Amino acid sequence: MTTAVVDGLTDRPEILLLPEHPRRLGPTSLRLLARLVVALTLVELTGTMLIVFAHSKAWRAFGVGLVYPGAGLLYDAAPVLFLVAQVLLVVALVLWWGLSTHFSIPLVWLATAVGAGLLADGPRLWVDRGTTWGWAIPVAYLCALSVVAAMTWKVESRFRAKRALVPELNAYLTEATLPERVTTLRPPDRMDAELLRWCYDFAEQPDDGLAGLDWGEQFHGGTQLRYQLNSIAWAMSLCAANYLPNAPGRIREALAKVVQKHTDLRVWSYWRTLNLLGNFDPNPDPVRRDNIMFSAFLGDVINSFEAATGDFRFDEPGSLTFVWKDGRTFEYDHHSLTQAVRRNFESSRLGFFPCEPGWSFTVCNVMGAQALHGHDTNHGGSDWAQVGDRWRRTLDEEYLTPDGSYAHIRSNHVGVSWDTGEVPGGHYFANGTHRFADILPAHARRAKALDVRGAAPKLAMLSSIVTDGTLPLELPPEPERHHMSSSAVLPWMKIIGGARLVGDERLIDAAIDASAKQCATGARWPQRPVAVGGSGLGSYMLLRWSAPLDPAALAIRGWVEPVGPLVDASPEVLITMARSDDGVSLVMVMESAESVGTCEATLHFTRLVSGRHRLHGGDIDVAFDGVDGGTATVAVKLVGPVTLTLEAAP
Amino acid sequence: MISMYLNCAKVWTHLVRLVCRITGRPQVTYAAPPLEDRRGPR
Repeated sequence: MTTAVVDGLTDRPEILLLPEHPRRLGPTSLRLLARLVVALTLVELTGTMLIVFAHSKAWRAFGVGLVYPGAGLLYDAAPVLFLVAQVLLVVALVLWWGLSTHFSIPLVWLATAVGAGLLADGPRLWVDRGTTWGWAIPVAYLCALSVVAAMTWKVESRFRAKRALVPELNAYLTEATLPERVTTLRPPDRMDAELLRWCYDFAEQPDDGLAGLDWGEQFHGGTQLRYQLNSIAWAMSLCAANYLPNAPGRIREALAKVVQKHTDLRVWSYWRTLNLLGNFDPNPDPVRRDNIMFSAFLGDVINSFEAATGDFRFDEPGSLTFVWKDGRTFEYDHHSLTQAVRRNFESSRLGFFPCEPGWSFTVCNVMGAQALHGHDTNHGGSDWAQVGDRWRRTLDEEYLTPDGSYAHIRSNHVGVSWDTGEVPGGHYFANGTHRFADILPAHARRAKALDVRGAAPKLAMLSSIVTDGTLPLELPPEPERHHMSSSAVLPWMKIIGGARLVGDERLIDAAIDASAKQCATGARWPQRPVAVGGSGLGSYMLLRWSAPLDPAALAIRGWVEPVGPLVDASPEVLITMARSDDGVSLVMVMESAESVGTCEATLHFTRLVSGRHRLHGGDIDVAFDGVDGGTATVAVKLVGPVTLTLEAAP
Repeated sequence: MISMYLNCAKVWTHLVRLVCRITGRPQVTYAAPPLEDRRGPR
């Protein structure tokens, strides 16, 4: 059962080449960085003036503390305090990234300098009261110079190494051919049934229930509820579009409940803390300002929901209402959510707007672009067209590095980027759930070519050991993001995703099968049917259910009414597939909702063509007539999973 | 310079673990806390 899908990647052969003379920094980043350099220079000059001209030890210690954070304490002959200051600097740096405390490093710097001034005439641990170490002054300058030199050397050497690759990469891109995306529908297996059962159980719990997700801190630790909900919703959207287009009833309602769970206070209340710390703004509204990792992701989730189900309930005003602890409500809908994302893009000097205040991540801004593009596709607007040029310039001028990868993160305040440890090397060729395929197809092709270049040889080796459709491997577990557990699903996802990237259908199917064999738990909701954390479960389902349509293809296609009969079933039944590819017959896979034993199933058909119909498969073979304009209800006995075909009776 | 050689994500995880130990809360659990009572519209 194959469905051809034009996904924007394979219908245009040309591939963008890399700039032959790449710049080190884009104009906005350069301006921000220059401002930082001026500020730091002023601090250094102030410190130097105090060292040279101050008559008291206190002011001189303060001055040394301005030259390098904590160095004033070394001048005060307090080496332990100097080391404590260095530890505080590390914590301040991590909190700057993690909680947007832009003040934390300046605060530690200033506090240790002030502390050095106050301690200048005070007691000492091992030496006489008021002792100062004059040699600490050149050491302070040496530390400051070392920092600047090491940072410059690291950034410059990485830039030059990447730039040196440009001719070779462009030669490759000129000749590269992109693999076709696999669009073959893989028949649902036992694990697909268990995963879908889990999705329904999760979605259909009471509306204020989040059982089944990992719960932990909501900032960076891999336990964020928002991302777990996002990935489950995307996976269910693909299931609805690929496996259940002709059984839309239950999956549509379940998906709507998952979308609605994004308004749960526990999912978005983290934002007030970030907004307060990073913007000094106590407003808890999670959509109005920054927070693209919530607004844009939710926008894209709704785009997927609409494209998969044709249900536009979240366009209704107030359909996404966020209620804060004190009763304040923030009422949004799909349209106003999208407009908030667009406004934030337009008001950002950098062109990308922040996730955590002051930090603009490429992946989140790709999701923002997807949110606008998908809304345009579903509603005929032009939001993406309005901001797209500026967005692309920001991507190409501010974030692109010479080898075609993009920096993961950039500060909106000081223009710096670094490898935060979140993604390998701090760079990637593409990201977001659509990897540029919808928003910038030419960029998507280049990114895909560069990704394939690195991955193809390794995947070809794996593919060579697939025997009779099986991959005789067990993979070692890798740590989850929160480092509290490990899972072999994570390396399996890399293989499945890589196999999808290179279009190796045999490896995709074998890896999906092998991953389930190794990682199945036999558990049911709220436990998980595969041994993986909450953040990995949705991604695993998404990778399994990404054909014929993957997330990008679904977004590009938008909502298309399915052809052929529709089926719904009584609660005793779990339908794992219902598709009509010819518009007349209907192929279904179903089993008892409890998966074991038999069940009496009642199937309701609609949109039947006139005449007599035959339903057959397994031990079932019944004939019936459609009534009341093409509806029929049929009772059958299901014994285990069964594939049923509904077609016109001869 | 520190930022160039520091894995912020890993340090963050250790900081969270430390805070959880101090506060006696689990770092990761299946049990999401109940919704807080809201005081109603102002």
